[in-house]
Amino acid sequence: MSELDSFREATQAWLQENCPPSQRTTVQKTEVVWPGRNQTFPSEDAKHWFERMRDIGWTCPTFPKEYGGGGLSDAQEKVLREEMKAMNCRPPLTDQGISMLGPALLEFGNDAQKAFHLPKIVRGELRWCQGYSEPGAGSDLASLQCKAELKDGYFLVNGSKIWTSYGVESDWIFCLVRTSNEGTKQAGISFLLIDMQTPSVKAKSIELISGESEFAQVFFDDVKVPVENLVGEVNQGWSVAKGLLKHERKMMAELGSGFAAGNLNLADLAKQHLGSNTDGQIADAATRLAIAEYEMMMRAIGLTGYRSHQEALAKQLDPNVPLIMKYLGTTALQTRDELGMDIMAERSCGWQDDHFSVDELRVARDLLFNKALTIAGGTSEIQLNIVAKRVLGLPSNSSGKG
Amino acid sequence: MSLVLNQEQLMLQRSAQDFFAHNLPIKQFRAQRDTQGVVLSDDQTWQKMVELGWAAMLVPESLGGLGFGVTGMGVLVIEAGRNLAASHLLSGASFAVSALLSCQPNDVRDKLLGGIASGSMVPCFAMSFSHLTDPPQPGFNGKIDLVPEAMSANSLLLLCQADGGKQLLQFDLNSDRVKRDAMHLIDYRDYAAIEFDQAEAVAFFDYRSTAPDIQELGALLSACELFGISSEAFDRTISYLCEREQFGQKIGAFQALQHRMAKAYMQLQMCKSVIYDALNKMDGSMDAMWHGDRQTPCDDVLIATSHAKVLANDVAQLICTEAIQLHGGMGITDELDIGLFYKRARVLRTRFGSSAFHKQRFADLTGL
Repeated sequence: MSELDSFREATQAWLQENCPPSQRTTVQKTEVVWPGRNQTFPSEDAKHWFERMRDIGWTCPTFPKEYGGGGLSDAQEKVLREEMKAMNCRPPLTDQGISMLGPALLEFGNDAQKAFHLPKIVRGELRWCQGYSEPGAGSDLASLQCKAELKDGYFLVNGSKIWTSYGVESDWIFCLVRTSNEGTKQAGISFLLIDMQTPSVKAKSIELISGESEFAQVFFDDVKVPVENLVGEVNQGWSVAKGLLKHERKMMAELGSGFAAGNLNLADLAKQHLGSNTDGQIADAATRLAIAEYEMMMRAIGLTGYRSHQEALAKQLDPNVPLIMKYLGTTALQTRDELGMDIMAERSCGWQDDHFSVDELRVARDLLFNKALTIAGGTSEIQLNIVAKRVLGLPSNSSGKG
Repeated sequence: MSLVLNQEQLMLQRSAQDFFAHNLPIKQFRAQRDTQGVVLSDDQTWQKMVELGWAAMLVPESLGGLGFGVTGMGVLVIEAGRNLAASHLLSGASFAVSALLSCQPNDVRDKLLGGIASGSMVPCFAMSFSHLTDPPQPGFNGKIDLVPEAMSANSLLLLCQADGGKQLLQFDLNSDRVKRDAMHLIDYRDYAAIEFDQAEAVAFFDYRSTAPDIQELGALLSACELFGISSEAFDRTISYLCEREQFGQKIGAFQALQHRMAKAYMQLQMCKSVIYDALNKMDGSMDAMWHGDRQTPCDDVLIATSHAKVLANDVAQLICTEAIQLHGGMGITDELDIGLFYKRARVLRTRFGSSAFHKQRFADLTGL
């Protein structure tokens, strides 16, 4: 048996023994385990699961052991993910520190930063958010204006960040800030870590059309940030951000493949709300066809994600194919949402109160929140631009417009 | 389940690309069309394909074939699509062969399969809706039309319904009781209207009731050809967008056109995935059905095939239409090859089932 096979066996055994049955079910949004100075858990089982994974370093499986991580190779981490998926184990801890900031520090951070932050990420002691977009800098992120002026031993930060996921709930924020106006806009950006408890950092929830407040605006008013919190060299922040992009893209590709699995089964809903004919088929022919088209789209997206996965294993990966997954997955999800509400009619339009069931109340809010998915993480329009330029090699506009 | 070509299949793909580029380039298609009004499979070129073993792709190794399966044939047909190549790969090497493999095995049948593999028999295939008496009368009378590859074939395998079950009849196309008349379609390819006047079948075979339906193989291989056509039309459109200048720049710089091509690219990639999946599923299934182990293809295969046909149809419509449109005035000229791709795709999009038909079937099979 190969080493990897032994690892797989040992992992299966460990998971069987340590993952409580209640943690082997699909996690609902309200049950996600986040880190934080004031960490809470939805249940005792969730707490135990988190603690056991933390102690073995598997909250951050590939972080080096010296920082408390699992020290696993990429191949081993893949085995762990596969076995967890096979048993339906929930992630024990979710955070931008694990998926984004940790990898950034490992690649670009100095020893002091790694030693200070990585163990806290592994142990779930601090919650991280991402400070990138600004009111004036969304798709054109490099035009960001949040200023960081170098003073004696600290940066003085002024400006604001927007669309910061869970900004209100987070402890620290990693920011792209402007440290120079010379040269290109990218060449004046630095990557700075800011403790949100620092005086004059304020986070304010942004209420969405779904009635939720996942996103926040964060304001910096003469905030003093120690120079030790600069990751990489000054004015080299864009490289750090670009390095992180491949992680974000990987996450997005996975997101695209996993999307829309969700709670709405359109076929069942249609039979329930619109009825079936004597052959047991959805009674309304147009809706039946629309659902068939949707299911074919989902099947094609799933097969495409799977094909990429197999290509990677066979060392035949076409690196362009993963770039289409976010656009496809998010668009398909919105199609599903609209079709679901068409079928359920006013029963899906409930906003609050107990004239509507809990499940019914989720439908419209989910559709409204999901509008964010074709905008966040690179808008659909930007995704199309990327495919056109990077994949298809179509030329850039010479006038700089259009 | 594999959505990735293995080494052998990749080599086959490369060799097919080379072969069609050298032996059946599009300018040859045009030359034949312009001089003869139709593009038939060229005998010499077909014999070269025979020598490469392509006539015997589906024939099991035990019967002297390559046993490369439906995926192997799919790979060839995709490349044929890219080149608008006229050959006997479909009606002959796929449907006629599949029909023979679906018959009760005997020496006569095996000899025919050997003849196809060696190139002495150049078959085509058709289905008749006339009902045969059982046993069949000495002379067969009837008419069938739109038989692909028939004008350049020397033998016809005709599947008929008889009282005791299905029968496969072999006819010599050079017999004077079998009259062929060319039908000219928009794709300039080989089609015949065939009239039988007291024609005698050269051979009869009992066709197994559990045999796979040619329609499934037809739908999937048509999807493959459509995918090849779409891929080539797409690539040529990208090239044109990178060359053509208006308003002081390459028209490919205009975002509206970029977004349309990006969306078309995504559809093309999904089409590839669905087709590869269907080829894979059908491969496993056909083997079992040809050798009698399985009664009918399971729903998985039918679902995969219907999906492949829908997507290939729709992607071909999208991409061939965009190809004409984005080539501007040139797009509607006969001089440009794009119109040839469009016209071939237009015919294939309804053969073995339109999108409407296959969407219904998909809905039926998935319990909607």
